[in-house]
Amino acid sequence: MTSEEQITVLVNMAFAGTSGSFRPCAFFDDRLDCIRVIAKDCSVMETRISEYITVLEDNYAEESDSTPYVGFTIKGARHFCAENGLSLNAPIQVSALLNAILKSFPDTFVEVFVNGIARPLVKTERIEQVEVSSVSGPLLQPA
Amino acid sequence: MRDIQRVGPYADIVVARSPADPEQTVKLGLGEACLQQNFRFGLSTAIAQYYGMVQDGMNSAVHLFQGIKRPLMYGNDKEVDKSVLVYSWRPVTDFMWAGSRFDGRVIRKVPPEGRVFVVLVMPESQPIDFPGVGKVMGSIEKWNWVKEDPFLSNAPVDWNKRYDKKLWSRNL
Repeated sequence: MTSEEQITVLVNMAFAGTSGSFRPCAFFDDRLDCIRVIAKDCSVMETRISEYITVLEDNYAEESDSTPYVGFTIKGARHFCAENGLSLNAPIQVSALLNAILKSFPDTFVEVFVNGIARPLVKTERIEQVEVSSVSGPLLQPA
Repeated sequence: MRDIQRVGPYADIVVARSPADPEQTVKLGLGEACLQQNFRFGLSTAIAQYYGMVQDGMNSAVHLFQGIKRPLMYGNDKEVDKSVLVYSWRPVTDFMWAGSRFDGRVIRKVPPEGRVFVVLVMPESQPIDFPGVGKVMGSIEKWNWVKEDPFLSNAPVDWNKRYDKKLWSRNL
């Protein structure tokens, strides 16, 4: 059995009993204090736009002739959301999140990221809400 | 590679080079929340990379960095960012899931040039000693590729701006 076949078996075993199918998503990663937006299940390279924003690029986008941008991450989410009046106790609208990013970081790179990458991506993939389940510990209250 | 073996709060246990001395090894756990997150959203490629690159690959790390320069709060602790460990190296293969969850399979890829693989670890403030395993010094929370630094091979680009310090590097 090749390593790919062995890993296929292990991945299938690991997913046994779970729903398993990929779906484009946005969620709060409690442990790493960030909001992840993921449009495609693929091998990704993370590129920093700023201290707070990272773009996810498909490592093999050239092979499929598709867009390289498959997601993004907003870091320091607890503080960012509190500062912008967004509560992590309930689902957050992605559009509100992107508006808050533009307001908080008035910068050309950020504007290009939000309007040129993030908005088209979430629109195409119909990612509308940030899921916030399983948040541990106290949350900062929105300002 | 092997099936995951749960130990205490960890989804699996792996061996990695010690933060104190790269010639020594420590045990790290795979964070259960991290694993569940991948299951919940069907992120099969991340699971394939865990089995193919993380589970038996941590000893390949060439650099270890500490402290990520970005805000990271967990519970009441506002300074978690300072303790995060980042292992980096350049694996010769990458793995990804192709097809649907039900009829897909793992495929091996040659990683694009100029990329390194990083694994983020949260050190445990009070490591627990598990029978037959020993102390688990931290939990693996994430792994992904990053652009490689043009001046320090096997390290993420701008590593000196991303991280507080480099704990060690190994000569290959």
